[in-house]
Amino acid sequence: MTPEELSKIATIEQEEQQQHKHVIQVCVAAGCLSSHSDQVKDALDKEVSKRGLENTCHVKGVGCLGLCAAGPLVRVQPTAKPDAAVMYQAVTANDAADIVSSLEGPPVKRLVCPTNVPFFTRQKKIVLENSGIIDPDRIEEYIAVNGYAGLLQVVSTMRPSEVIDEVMRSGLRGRGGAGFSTGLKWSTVAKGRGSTKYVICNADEGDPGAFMDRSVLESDPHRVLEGMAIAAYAVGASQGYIYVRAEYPLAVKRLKAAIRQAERAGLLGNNIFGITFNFSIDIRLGAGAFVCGEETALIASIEGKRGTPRPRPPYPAESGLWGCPTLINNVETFANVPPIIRNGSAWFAGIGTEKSKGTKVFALAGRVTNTGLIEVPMGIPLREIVYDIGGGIPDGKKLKAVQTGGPSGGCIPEQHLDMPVDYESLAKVGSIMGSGGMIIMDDTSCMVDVAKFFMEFCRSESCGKCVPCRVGTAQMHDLLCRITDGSGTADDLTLLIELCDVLRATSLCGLGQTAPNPVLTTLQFFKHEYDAHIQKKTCPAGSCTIHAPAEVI
Amino acid sequence: MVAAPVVNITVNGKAISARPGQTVLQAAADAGIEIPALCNHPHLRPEGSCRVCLVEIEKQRTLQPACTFPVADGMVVQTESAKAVESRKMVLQMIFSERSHYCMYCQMSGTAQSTDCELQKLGYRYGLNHWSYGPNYAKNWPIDATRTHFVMDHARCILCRRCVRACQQIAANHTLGVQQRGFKTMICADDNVQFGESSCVSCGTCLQVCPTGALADRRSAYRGHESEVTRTKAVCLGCSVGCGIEAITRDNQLLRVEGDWKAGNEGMLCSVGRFDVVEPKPVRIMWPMVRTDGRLVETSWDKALTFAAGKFRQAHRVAGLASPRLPNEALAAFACFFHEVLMSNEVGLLYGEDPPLELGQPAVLHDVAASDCIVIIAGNPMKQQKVVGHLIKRAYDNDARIIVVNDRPTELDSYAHLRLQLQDVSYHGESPFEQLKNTYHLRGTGVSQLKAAVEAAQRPVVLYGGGLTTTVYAALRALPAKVHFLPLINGTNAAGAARLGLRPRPVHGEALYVMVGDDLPDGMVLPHRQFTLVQSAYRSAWTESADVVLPAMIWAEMKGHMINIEGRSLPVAPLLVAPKSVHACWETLLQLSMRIGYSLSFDEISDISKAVV
Repeated sequence: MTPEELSKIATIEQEEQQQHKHVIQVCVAAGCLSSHSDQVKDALDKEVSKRGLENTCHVKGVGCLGLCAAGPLVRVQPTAKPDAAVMYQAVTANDAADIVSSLEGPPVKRLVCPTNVPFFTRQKKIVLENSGIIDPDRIEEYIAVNGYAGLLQVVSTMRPSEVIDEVMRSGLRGRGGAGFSTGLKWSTVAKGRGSTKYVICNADEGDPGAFMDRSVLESDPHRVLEGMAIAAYAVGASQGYIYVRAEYPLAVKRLKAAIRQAERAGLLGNNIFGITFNFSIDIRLGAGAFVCGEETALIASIEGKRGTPRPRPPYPAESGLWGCPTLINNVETFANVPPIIRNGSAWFAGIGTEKSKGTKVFALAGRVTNTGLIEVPMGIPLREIVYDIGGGIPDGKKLKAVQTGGPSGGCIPEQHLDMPVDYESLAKVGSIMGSGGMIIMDDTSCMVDVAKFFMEFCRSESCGKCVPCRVGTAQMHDLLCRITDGSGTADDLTLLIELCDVLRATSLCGLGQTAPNPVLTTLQFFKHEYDAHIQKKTCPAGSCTIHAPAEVI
Repeated sequence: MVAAPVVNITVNGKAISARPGQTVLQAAADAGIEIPALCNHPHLRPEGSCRVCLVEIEKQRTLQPACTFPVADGMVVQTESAKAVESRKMVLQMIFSERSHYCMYCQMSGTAQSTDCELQKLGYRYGLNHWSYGPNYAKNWPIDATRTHFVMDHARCILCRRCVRACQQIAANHTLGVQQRGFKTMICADDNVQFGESSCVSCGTCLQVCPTGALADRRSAYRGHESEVTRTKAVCLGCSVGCGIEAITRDNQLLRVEGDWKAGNEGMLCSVGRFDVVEPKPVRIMWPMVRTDGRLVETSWDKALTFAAGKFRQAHRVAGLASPRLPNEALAAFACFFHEVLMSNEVGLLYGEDPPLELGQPAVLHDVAASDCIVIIAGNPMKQQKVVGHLIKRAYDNDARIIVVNDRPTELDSYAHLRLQLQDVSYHGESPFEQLKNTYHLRGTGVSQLKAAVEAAQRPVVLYGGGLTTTVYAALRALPAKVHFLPLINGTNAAGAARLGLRPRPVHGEALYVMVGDDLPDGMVLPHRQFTLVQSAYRSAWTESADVVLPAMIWAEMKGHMINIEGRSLPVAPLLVAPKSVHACWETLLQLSMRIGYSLSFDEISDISKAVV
């Protein structure tokens, strides 16, 4: 692959796209696929060929369009006027004829999904810029939207240290949860000893209800490959692994196809862009253990061992996969890298807050009208996410809390709704950014029950290696069960709090250290609910089944 | 000379000089500060899982495990600060609460000072008289008693994984593992089969490292606390490896055997050395017996020896056979007795093989484990020198190349990167001069393949057995100087016997003196002679066919020396006191020679030791 070839592919693809008068984009990411968007696409294909419109209308599968709650989603876009695109929701195969008929006329009213609403207008798309636009199965479409231009720029005009400086200046922080400076991580690996280094993409997304990474991989896999290749160039690695959970078959399929295409195009492999830069990527499948998202457990799993964390130091940046310096970043982190290179660190640093730059993708779930995938600039008030983008709480219910960060995060109550969403602010209220799960809860949710749910999750996902996590999560779960079934005592609560402290202070890895967070934040903001269960033997939300205390005769 | 680099740290206010790369726990231990730990074991790679060794380190946000945290210059550590102790107590409570640690019903229960159970000891040390969490006695934790020699009681298991790591890192057997996760985590064998049906070879390394009563030895359980037993370092006489052992004895009984961590075997033993030695044995012979009216009748030493001396005097020629398990001193006295007293050269070993020739720079056991290329030519260490077999597997785990040269399949074949075929060139002619028994040859192409592999390695070791052709031995001797050689000798002290001129061979004479020590026939039949004297510790088919039977010491009662496969002379120290009526072999021979009318040239064991070592 030469720079000229790359721009030629882009030009040919762009010209080809211009030939069609209309393009019909059908979401074929997992959300819409599960409501049979593949059948919709087939029906549209048939309809177009039945009417002999193949040369003027192009039907293609694209990645996630965001509003998963309204799927399957279809977007019709006139090539000449992209702004005049119409989005259709809850489309079925039977609607194909109507949609194709409307190409030259007014849109099909009953299916229209308004896009001038905050859900679409308030978002800021960097990571998801191509989601719902390009066909994830075709590398040409990615190249046509400036794909691999960042990699080209890096290998042809920048020294590895300059790449690291650029990422450092952008202020990008790890999107996997902890928010460690990406540039700093890269420079540590670059300084690591030895000539063999590895780049690993952590796609073992495991938080309940979170699907940001899956969506990126399904909608725009090349973006992640490009981000990894840029990282590999910067740190001096020649082999990369994507550790993706086996429960994401579609993401795996698209990744495999993308890797093959990139290899064939010479964008992965040996002598990329004609210089002595070699980089290959292999996929490793996770077997569904949440703890394998922890970097040392993930490395153990890639090495073929039982997926359990090991104490750090040494950090993977010094001694990781097979004992070599290893860079591990999350899917979303890598997906941010190509646009940072293309548009410059200043552009990226201009988005977000002082310490949290860029955007963050959230999977909006729970008691909110617009569930789906959103990307918002860092620092956006939580209220805006819930009420504007999320469309508020359905069924006239009242918001109770917003849970972020999954089992390691916390529940943020209504009174903190005006806080900005960034790493520091979330930490201040006892929660974390996490990988981007955001669960909205209304007043029918019992917060003790929520804490119990997450503790149950941690209990069964603990790897069982260190004592505090293995025993502590089980003990805490037992105590929470006692409280929710009405047999809890004040002593139980004291013990629960004590255990929270011990787990935080003594657990081996992040799973155990953060497992108490849901308990701690619910205790901080909803202690009255615990008290009600313990003292009055009632569940204020009415969701727990309280056993009447046995009568003493 | 450049001074060794030093890392200066402070532990509990005491300035300590540590070596770079040491962990906080190791550095503290070297300075005499004991940081409590359960999953940590000095001979296993640290795991950092029990969280008992958490200490406070200045500038660290959270408590850090001393067992994995590397020392750094200027580090300030507090091992018993209020914060560290508080968390340690909580962690100990959690461990106690997880399963059924009901000390008073556990065979490992000891005292605050003893080392029986490391968990219990910490419970005492930190004053744990209760724990706040619900106990788990209700659950039926399984007990796996399917292994012959020891039992796994999951109720006592704290999941420290010392056993798993010992199985992987020391024995290199990879039988033990962990199944499930979180609170369902259990130690398991292979794909969760019962231990008795697993690939376990009963080396017992896991048993030796278990900190609690989860792994319990069947023979020694409930037979004495650490404070009531004696630990003695000794040598295992099970085979020619001569592993260092620590014998646990009480009231003149051998309760248990453990591997000596400081010896060449680095704590490892095989099932023979660890377990078979404490298995029940046949009836012990306490007094001499003389066949009277077809029956063996107990009699006094004087009568038996006088009777035997008379028979030997009458005989035209007396033949002698001795067990290769006997120490140098017994063998030397035996040879001396035949040469000097009976004027007979018909003396040899009861069984075993001629030790192979010495070829070059001798290897020590550690060379095998640390080698990057191991050649095993003729011989089967997985069967005959089991601990060496484990060392080979350990080297294999560290990416050593394994080359197996044999004429038949061996257990090592599955580890072999290269397998070469030995050719049987034995020739069974009529005349003894034409016989070439059990002789094997390696063709030239094989030799050159072997040579190429050895030359490419940095620390090659050749393990070789007997019975190879002169050409092959010459080829091995011609290997580069960096090669270390370890002979695979069959017969515990065959090397020592060979130095005394004793080798397995047919002996001739109408009277026979067989000195078997504590060996048992295991199907082997003695040659029939007009008069047979058997000196044996146990009654067996051998003694039942004898005319005179004399008592003998068992291995644990003997004193002397043996020569192992490394060619080292190892002292054999008595662990037990022999019954009053049982004497050392050399003493019997002295008495017998006097009754024959000739005095031997020694009258103290030290005289023989001086002569043979």
